[in-house]
Amino acid sequence: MKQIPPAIQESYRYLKFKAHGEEKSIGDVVDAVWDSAIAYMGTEGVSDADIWIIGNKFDKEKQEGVIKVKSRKEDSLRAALTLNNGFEDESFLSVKRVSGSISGLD
Amino acid sequence: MPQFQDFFINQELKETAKEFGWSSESIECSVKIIEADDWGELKQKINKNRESYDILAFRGGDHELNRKAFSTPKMDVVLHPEKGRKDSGMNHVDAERAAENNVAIGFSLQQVPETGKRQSQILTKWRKNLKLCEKYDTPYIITTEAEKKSEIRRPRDLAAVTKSLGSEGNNPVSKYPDEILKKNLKARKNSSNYSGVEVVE
Repeated sequence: MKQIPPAIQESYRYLKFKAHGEEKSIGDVVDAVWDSAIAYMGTEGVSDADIWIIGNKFDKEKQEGVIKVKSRKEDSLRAALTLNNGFEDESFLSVKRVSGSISGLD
Repeated sequence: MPQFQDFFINQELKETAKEFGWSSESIECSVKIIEADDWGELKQKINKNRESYDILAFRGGDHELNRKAFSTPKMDVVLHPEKGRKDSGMNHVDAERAAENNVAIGFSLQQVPETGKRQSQILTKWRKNLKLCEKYDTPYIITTEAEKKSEIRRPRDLAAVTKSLGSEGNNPVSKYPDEILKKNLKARKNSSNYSGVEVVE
């Protein structure tokens, strides 16, 4: 398939997050991000945000990972993670760093 | 590099707060949160505590008292004016008075339930108040009022909440609290009796 011209491509932000609290698996984190985003932004908002939790970037030891989201929805996703932790216990996610590319997070 | 300030984080969480990017200056400063049922009590408590504390805040909720607090230059922050109300707890007159007297509106995360109808109702009120603050150039701050480690959030995450509700920039966690703290530290240093009164030499 031919690539969409750069001028009309959406720009994305990569959010490096850290999970605080008890140790979590990637599955727990994915569920928490989706639950929290849907609770705050609604189904329409989440579909527009095009959220993607990058599986191979999750570091279980450090409890850190990367979320990809459309740049204009970055604040909404951060607000969602701040207001609803999405976990059943008191664990929560905080955004450590934001970049326009994955390599920029290192 | 901006300094991020939250006056209402429990001082026992100082180390964690520093890790999260909050400045230690705001956590170390002395804060008094006043609760009052009528104007007489509020006035008395303001006069009694103004000189002894760096930051003086009032727990809002009653519209009449909210307005009195917004009209008092000695007050620094009116926390959650919308608490326990069906409306947002302030209107354009209050916003104007708060801007004139340099009283900040405090948005507290403690007022926001985890999910559901109540959360959206509170955020609707926040949206209205933020719109007024932006229009009348009223200072406003956002705080977690964290009492335990799991309640602390990063400054930019908190700013993202107000941004997603229609405000701009990181002002509620950097510019506005910084201005309040600097103004009060200067006033106390000059041993002025009143916040808002400057000794001119």
